[in-house]
Amino acid sequence: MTPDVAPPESLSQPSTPDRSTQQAIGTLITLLALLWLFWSSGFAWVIVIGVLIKAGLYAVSAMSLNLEFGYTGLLNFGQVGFMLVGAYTFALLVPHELGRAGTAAGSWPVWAAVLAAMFAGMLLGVVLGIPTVRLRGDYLAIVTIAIAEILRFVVRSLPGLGQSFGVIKYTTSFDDLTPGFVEDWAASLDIPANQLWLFIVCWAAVGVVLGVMTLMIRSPWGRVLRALRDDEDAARALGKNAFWYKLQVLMIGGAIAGLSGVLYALDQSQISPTKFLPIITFYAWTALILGGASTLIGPISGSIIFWVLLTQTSSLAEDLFPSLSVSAVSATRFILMGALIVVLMVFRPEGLFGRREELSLEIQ
Amino acid sequence: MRSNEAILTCDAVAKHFGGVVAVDVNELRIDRGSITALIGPNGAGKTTLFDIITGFLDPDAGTVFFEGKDITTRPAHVIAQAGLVRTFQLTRILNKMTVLENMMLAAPSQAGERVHNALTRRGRVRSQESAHRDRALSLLERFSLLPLAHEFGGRLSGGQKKLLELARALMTDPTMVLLDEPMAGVNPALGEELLRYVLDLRDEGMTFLFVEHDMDIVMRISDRVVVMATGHIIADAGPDEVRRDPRVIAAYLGAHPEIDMDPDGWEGQ
Repeated sequence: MTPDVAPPESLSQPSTPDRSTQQAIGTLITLLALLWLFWSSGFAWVIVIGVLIKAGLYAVSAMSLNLEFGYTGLLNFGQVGFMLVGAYTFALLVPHELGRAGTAAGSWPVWAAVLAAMFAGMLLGVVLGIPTVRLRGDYLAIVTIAIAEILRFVVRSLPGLGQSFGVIKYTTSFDDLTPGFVEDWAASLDIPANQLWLFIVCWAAVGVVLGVMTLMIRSPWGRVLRALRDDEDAARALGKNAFWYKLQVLMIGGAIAGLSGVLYALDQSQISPTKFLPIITFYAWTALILGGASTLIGPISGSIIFWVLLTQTSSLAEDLFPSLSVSAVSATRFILMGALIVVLMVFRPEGLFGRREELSLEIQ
Repeated sequence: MRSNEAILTCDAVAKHFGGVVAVDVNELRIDRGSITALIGPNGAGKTTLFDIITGFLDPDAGTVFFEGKDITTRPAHVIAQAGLVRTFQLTRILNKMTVLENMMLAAPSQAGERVHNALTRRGRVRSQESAHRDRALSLLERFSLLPLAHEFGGRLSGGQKKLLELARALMTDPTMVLLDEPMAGVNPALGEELLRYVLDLRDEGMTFLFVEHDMDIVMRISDRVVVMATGHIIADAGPDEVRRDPRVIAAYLGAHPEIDMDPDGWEGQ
């Protein structure tokens, strides 16, 4: 090896020959999933767009987890709590109706409410991070899972937050922003204009978050995060303030999760405590692990595959087990999903886009 | 023959683990621009003292001064930024980062380590990165690690990891370096070259405190030898004086009877 020949991007990982093959396979599988989505939905745009909205918003959520876990090694099992904070902040600031009484309130413009939602997620990151970041990773996992549940019960108890009935009609001001060309386009595809608009906004958010993540991860800042993930003491011995970096990660990750919470709220017509069960967290985690943590594309690809599989396997389940009732078919989808993840963990534990070499280095 | 220019001072530093006295050091002064060896049997408290000095452990009592400032309770990263950098007995190489990344991580005061600079002042970050990269590569060359620059840290051998950790410590631009058994597992010819390099750096004003069990190295390059046993400093003098000290022979020979303490026998080590 000639020492002077260095890769142009100084921070890039050394690429092994099979790395590009792996990326090609990952891309191919993602495309196959999309094809399946088109085919199994009978080329119905309303279904395709509906699934891809979910894929987009969970991709944002999974990217936030990726920053925390994939690059910094922080175990956040309370992602739904960040999403709840973002969703409620947004819904309560824009014009909406609250609770069973249907009290109308809220006057913020959409853009300001989105920023506020991201800020709220950031704030939760600080509140949660300060007491826990100094602790070992598993403790952070326990605290985050508890915080998310606490938040859900708080929301259920406070009349000012709509209690169990929640918040409705907060999407109106967002729908009103739908540009004319989107309306025309939606008409030609025969789908609701606000759905296509949300789809565009969702994937624009994915693009922006991916761009910012790429810049951050490839910078010296991102290098410090990876050092913290590998060995915190080594990073401290080299003068890196581990506490502050981890707190920054929880703040930025929290803001991104808050954004995904806004998108999640916009995908629903009503938000209420039952919409923020811990399973939401594990959807995001599954997307991340499927696609591959510590990669930029992994969480996006994983989220697409996850949502295509989850929504389109019911016909498969019906074919496999024709005697099942509708609710049993619905449950079977999750069994298939679980089986797939087990298979993936056995044969490709690093996820579709992950680096196997990194995994092997972990054991040393 | 003590100069007044002490760069590091430990004053009545004590640390207990349960009922065990790990460190109980009345006074330790390290002169600027010197090489001091810290020797003693296993369990003497050498590494614990390192941990206390570098902020990885807080002492139960006493004060540590570095460059005249009290650093006793300062966190590890602040002490490292102040120019007092350590290596570890069990190397702490970042396995999933390349050798070059390990080095560049260590560069001091990087603009790109602030997230807003990483996003907005990319030109400045990039030019700083290329300067750090040049420096990292030249250090790697000196440590014979250049061919491995793009290899993952986790792929290196034990000795190579030791070398990388020393190179990485130097990358931080330190004024004082604490080395915990730097030569363990390093091939003798390369070790010899490194020792010359350390001597050069000493002559340029860098200060070294190192733990080492290889008596040949200790006696050859140290300006002073500090001997610890059961947490206490039992001798603190020049190498010649120390190896004739009966207390040292008792404490150290008792624990390591295989070590030849005859002055004429040093070459054989």
